[in-house]
Amino acid sequence: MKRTLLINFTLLALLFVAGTSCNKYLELQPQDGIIRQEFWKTKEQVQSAVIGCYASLLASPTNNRPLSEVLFLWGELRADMIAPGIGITADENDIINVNTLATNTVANWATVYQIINYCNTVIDYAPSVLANDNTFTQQQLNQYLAEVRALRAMMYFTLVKSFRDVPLKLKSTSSDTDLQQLPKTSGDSVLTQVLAYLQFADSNAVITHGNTLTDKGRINKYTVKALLADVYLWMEKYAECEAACNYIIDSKKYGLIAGNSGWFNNLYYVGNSNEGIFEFQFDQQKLNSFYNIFLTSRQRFLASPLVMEQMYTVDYVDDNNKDIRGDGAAVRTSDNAIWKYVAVDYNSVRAADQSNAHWFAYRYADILLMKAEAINQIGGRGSEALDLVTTIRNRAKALVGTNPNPDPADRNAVADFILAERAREFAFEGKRWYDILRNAKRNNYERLDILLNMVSKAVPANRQISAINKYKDPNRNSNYFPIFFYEIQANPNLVQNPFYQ
Amino acid sequence: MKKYMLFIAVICFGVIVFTATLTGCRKQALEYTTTSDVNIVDYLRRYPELYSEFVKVLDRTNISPFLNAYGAYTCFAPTNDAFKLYLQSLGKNSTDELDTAALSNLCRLHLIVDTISTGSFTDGKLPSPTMYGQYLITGVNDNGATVINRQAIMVQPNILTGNGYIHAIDRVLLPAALTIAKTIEANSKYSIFTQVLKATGFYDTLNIANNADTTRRFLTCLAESDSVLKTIGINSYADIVAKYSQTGNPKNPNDSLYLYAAYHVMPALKYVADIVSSQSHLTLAPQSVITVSLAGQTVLLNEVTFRGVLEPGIAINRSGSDNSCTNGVLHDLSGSVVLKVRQPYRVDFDLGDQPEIRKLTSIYRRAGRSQSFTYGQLKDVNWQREASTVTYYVDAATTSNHYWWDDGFSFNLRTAVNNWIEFKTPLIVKGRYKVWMCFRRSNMGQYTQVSVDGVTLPRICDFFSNITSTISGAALEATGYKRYAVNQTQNNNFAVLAGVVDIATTDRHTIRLTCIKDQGTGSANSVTFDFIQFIPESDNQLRPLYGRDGSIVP
Repeated sequence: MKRTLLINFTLLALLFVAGTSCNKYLELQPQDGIIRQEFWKTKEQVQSAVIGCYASLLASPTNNRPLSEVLFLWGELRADMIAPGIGITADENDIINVNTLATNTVANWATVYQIINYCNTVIDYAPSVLANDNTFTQQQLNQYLAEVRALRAMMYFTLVKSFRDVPLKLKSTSSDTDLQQLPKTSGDSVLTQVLAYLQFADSNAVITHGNTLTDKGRINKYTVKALLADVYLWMEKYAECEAACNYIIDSKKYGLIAGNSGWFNNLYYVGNSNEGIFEFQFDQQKLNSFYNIFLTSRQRFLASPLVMEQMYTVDYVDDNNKDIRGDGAAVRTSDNAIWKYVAVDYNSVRAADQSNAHWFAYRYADILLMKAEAINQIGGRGSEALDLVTTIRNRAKALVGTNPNPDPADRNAVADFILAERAREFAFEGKRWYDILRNAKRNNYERLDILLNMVSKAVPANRQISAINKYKDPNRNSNYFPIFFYEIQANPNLVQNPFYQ
Repeated sequence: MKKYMLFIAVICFGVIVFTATLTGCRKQALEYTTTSDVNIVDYLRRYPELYSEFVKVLDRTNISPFLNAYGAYTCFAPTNDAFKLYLQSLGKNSTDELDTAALSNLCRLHLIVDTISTGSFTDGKLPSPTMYGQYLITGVNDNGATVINRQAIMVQPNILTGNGYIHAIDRVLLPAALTIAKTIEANSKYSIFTQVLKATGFYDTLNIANNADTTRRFLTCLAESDSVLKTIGINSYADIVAKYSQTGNPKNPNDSLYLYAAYHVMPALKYVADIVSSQSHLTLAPQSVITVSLAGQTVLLNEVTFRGVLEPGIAINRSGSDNSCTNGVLHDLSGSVVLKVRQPYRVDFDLGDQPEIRKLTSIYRRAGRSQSFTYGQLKDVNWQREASTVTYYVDAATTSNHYWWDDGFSFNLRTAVNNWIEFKTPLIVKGRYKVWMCFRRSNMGQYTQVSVDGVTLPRICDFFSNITSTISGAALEATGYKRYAVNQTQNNNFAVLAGVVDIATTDRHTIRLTCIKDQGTGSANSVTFDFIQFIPESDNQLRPLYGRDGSIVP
């Protein structure tokens, strides 16, 4: 009897212990974070997730290269405006020398796909909030979706411009079971998708978010139009491009910052000016990575000597006669430092903890020059295109010597002039290579000479002929990046671009 | 009961031991090597369908053993198809029919004792020679494919193995068979040039076939075809003799035809990519260089501005050049390059007139402006201490200084601060020159040694002491000083003679100022310079005079 009692008590004690401790040590949910099943309940959570997508433009939580740096490298390394500095990496130098291999880390697209995944996550889960939060409307949801879809479109557009054919991942990866080994989708099909997202965004995005800061830092209808114009221009759909540009121009909400003494300060140093359409919002809490790239004693890049000699040119007689975009804005001519992102003004530099210059995705000047390029291609409107270029040049006090005065009827000459003006206007803003490639590939590489002339100036003299010949056969994707070798190893369905096989 | 427990215990023990034996005693697979990477030959053996012929040849020539040992190699591996084409061209059925020594040389042409990936490929030769001794050249053809030695296309680049790189190629590489002289002779378009080489004796110089196992003495020859010579009115060998050979004996080193031939041969192996990488190249003509510039994709030789006149350059015909020979390389010119007789003429080298400073239009020769430059910012100025800076400055019109153009160039010259500084001069024609240092007296640089191209000049220059104010003109010159400014009464801006220098080649030269003894204590003081004059020894040393507004008064 005594024995039975003892057993009963023991069992009872065990039951207590078991009953209390179970929900502690069998707990599987993380205790320092929030899990998906508990997120996506309120509209505030949707908003923070969308803002999180924008935050990923500034820096990657997993320490990938920041997107602004990726865009700079992809847009400038292969072009003719930068020269290697002391601190340049071997990989970067290889790209300047047109010696890109699949092992080149610059060709790693991880940063971009990470942002795409954040967008995908919002697109997948935000609609479920409608069921939980009655104050969240379908219209609000669509506005958020417009933003992330446009952002995702922008990322895919960047990938197509850089790699041509890329895997199209449209579902979020939230667990191991979501991992997919996707093959490449052709660049044209990806662009069709990109247009579809942008058209959704176009009809759902807000006109304004209510204040300047968010209007420049988040996607609104005008940002979508700017993106559309860029995509249409790349796809050689000029009438559509013009329409998108006209929408922005006719809105009269943007303008060029006057080319006076406050120009650099307003446009570049402070940012979010009347000219900005979409800028990456670096601030004191989140600095950009450009200080170390352009300013320290081990700077990675300098401006090429050609930038001042041939692009902006110098008036040797009158030192007050100069292009405001050149000396003291894009370049510090005394040492050819790339000045745009690290300067306070002509003479002084930012402190390391003030390195928060914005990255400019689109500016109003871009809209004007995209329109000029489009209507010149439509044909018969060369002088109208030249007027737009003149507007940009007058603002910048461009030197007479850089105006070739092309015949308005000569489409190629006008296109060359617009391309050269874009180089001056958007120096080091990550656009140069794509501008060259877009002009060279037009009408099935009708103007391949643009690309070949550019590369003959950009590479070291003893590699010139090799570099030219590598670009001569565009059908093998030699003017697109290789897919990074790690991606090929991890995903057997990916096929390397033919030039790099 | 006890027995029963014992039985259970025994069974338990048995079960435990049995399980332990089953699991524990299995031999563990331990990795004893640090890597599973194979070396070059083992890699080739893995793919007999591609490389069996090459491996067979490597084995037969006894190259496999060392190529499979540790080291640093680059191997251009011809595929089996490549060997098939090679044998067809020889009319043989198998590599067994070939001579072992010849095969060994052939294999060595495919091997480099260095690890070279495609990143090091240029338009010219690879950085290291092959084991055979000949350099391989690389390039890219019109289809974007990498071409090796203009013979083979690279089918798979950069296969990394334990001891180096393999690059698979689609043809067997063939060593050059002819010397430069024989190559020129074999080409009928060089008939006049061949005769010139034979008459001047350079045919033999270009015909020395070096042995593969000794150190090679490579040469580079710039040949002019008959059609090029025709453009300057030379239609036959007799014409060129009549034009150049003033002594009548082309073998005479003073004969202009001899010099013409010598000027077309450069010592060392220089492919076009090497030629464009340097501003000037020595030739076999004594103290004569060929200068190089690149206009777009055209390599121009001897395009110089001499005394304000632009002399158009002669282009290298790139598609007909880079012909590898056993003892060097042969290039084809699209015009006639001739050695010009130039009389020495004076050079006033303004130190502030640097290309980088000239571009700073708001500073260059603008009154009252100045700009400092750190190490590396001026490509033609180099100094010892990286931390030291140099300054270009322009005087305000109100100062009492008398710089030419009102601008000066200042730098430290002190053992512990910056021991030396050197400048690349403009083009100086070969000859004997007096070197005058024109400066503004300051508290630095009392003991400065000047050297040109490493040759020290005899006088120690003093940039500190006063000039004797009572004498002037020839009397002052006799003491090694002169007043160079238009204002001949002031005693702060003047020139000191560093010595006489023999400029050996018509080229840009390097002039260096070295502090050999510190002066005073002011480490922050700097030497304030105006310009440096190279005046031919026989010319008037005192005139012209130089004004603050840039004027030159004869």
